[in-house]
Amino acid sequence: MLLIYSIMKIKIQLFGPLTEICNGHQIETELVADTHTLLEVLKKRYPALKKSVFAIAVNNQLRKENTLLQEDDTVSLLPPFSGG
Amino acid sequence: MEKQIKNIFIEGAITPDFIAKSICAHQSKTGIGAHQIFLGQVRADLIQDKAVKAIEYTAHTEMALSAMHEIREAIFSQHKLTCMHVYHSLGKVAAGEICLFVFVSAPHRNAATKACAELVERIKFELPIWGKEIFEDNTHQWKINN
Repeated sequence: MLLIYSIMKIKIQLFGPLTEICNGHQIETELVADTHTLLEVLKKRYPALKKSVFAIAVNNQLRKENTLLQEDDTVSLLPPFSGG
Repeated sequence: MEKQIKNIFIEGAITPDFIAKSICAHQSKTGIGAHQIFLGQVRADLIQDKAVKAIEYTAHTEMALSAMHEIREAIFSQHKLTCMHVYHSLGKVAAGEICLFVFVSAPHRNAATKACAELVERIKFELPIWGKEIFEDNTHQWKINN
């Protein structure tokens, strides 16, 4: 029997100085339960994130509380804004 | 009726010609008695003997446009305005060039002045836009808004 495994993933968009810490504007990880868990995973992968300040958005909505994640969600990590 | 979300982003610097044309376009709106304009210009800051030669802007455009939409609605509801236009650069803008153009028009000056000042503050602190300050030797640092 042929089994096709599809790993559920989430996209992470990075901005400003975080693009340098994570080497790119977008990365992917396997789906994890929630945003707290995601941050733990990312901080292990990119230790410099531990010292970074950023807000989190899930599917373009800012989330201050821990938020459950679903397949194909897009999480954005937003360092302090500096437009103008 | 839901208002359409307007694009505010312009690739590269905002030219004096574009600004002049925007002013001209308001001559037919004769209910206006006051325009207030804010122009943000890239400053050649000197940091450890190196001058900033340009700022490269990036944004989370979707979130920025939806935040700008909310700010626009809020400011319109607080002040008696005729119209409001906001433009922000994306990509590289050289020192001395314009990167932000905020243009508020109203029947009277008080509303225009207050709304414009409020808008500029909210744009700088609430829109997900990032500036990378590039120095003459092509090294860089990330801009911080105070």
